[in-house]
Amino acid sequence: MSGESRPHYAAELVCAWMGLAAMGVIFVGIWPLMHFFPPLDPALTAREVAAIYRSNATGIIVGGMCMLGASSMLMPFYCALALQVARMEAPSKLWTYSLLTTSVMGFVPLIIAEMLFSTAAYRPDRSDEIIRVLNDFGFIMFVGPSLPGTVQMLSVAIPVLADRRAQPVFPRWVGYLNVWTAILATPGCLVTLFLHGPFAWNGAISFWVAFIAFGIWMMVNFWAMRGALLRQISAPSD
Amino acid sequence: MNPMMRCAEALGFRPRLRVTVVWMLLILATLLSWDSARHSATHRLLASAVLVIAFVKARLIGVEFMELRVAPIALRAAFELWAIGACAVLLALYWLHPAL
Amino acid sequence: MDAAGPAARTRTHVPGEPGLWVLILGDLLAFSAFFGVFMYHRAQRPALYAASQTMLGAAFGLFNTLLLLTSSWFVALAVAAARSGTRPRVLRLLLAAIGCGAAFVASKALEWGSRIAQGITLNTDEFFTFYYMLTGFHLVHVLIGIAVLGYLFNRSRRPEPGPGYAAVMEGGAAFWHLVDLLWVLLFAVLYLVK
Repeated sequence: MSGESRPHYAAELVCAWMGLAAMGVIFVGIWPLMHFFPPLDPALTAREVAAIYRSNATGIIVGGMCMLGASSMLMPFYCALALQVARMEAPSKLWTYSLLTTSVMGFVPLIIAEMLFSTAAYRPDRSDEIIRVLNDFGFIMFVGPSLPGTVQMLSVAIPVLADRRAQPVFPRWVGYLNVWTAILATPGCLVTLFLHGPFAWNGAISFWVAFIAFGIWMMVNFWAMRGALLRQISAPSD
Repeated sequence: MNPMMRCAEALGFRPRLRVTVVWMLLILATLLSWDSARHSATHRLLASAVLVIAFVKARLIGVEFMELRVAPIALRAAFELWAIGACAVLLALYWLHPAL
Repeated sequence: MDAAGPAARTRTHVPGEPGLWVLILGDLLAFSAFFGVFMYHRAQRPALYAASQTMLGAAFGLFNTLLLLTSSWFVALAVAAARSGTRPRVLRLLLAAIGCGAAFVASKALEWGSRIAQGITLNTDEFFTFYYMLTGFHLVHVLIGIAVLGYLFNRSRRPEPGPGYAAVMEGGAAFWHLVDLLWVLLFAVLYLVK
């Protein structure tokens, strides 16, 4: 019995690791390549923004390709996470589906952001104003849609906390941590209200707190997934 | 038979009296801070005292209302460390700005 | 079966459950960071912040603080009542605490409403951005807290509260106390410290 089921657990574990690797690739794309970490200042003039895009066009485009590819690699990670959630809430599948759908919802804006940045860098002889509009659009897409992330994290928190078996799939504190990161992810949705300050798209609260919260979320949930999968792999029966 | 009774033992007798006394202390500290603040428009030491009193109140809420008093030492220590650290950082940031 | 008496007094007890404290301590850290960002920005423009602060409804702030402190008192009494098994008392106290929470929300609506009527909105200046954002973020916590108290009320109404009732009462109460604690700090940082 266990001999047949082991290969697919191994595949899920690989997907979990791929998720971490994907985050690394996205980070390489954003920072050393695009120089968008921290994000550009929303208060820059059109001329300054255009100058940045013209001087670093290749970096932005290649970094964007990293973001695009890595975002796709992240989807199997979320599927592996969803399979753990399915175990917790079996026979229901409500939060499994909720997690899957909000994960996709959360990453589509990232892909669109990448395309907008790349489009802005595509024709350097375009007018400054148009480049800045594409830049604005890109960063609003990049930081703004944080609420799908909130619902996504709650979709993990709820089944973890509702899991009442003697050996829970994920430790209970992971559920509480997901609630915490879900709360911290919310201020991102406010970026369209501010051109500067801590709630703007490069601000201490809308960007940095959310970024750190997401990093913590990723590492803790990866660790919990890995633990659960290792237990599944070594279990004598399913 | 009642797990809650075990906690009642651990918390010490007359819990109702205890939380009522704590509540009265909190109200008093609030009114005191309120009054000080109204007269502290340009007195930075008084404002600092108000901030410290706020953290003392916060600590009281944590230790007495949240019952950290009977919690394992690690949890209690984490909370106390937060209280001291956060208070110190906010005080430092407050004194950062030049006097008006 | 259950050890009572002196032995129990030396045992420690995690209020609620250990995982909950990840959330509570995490929230304390997060709000402290928000306050820190506020104080930092305030140090850059002290005159603006001082001037804007005078336009706050300080009486509202005081009323809110006294309200939440009292609601925490009710919740602490409710937990004590649950331990001694007096169910009607638990229900009355929880209801009173929920009432305080509702009054807080109403008061906040009035406070914001009267600021907005004076033309003070989110982007009026940096101070008021922080004011609306911080009190708004706290308000979300109050709403969640009211829902938690509502759950405690429903759970306490059952003829047989079921297993884990003790932890649920303590945990829910701890979250409400957190809401109170955060407001105490917010009141000092935004309204009182000049």
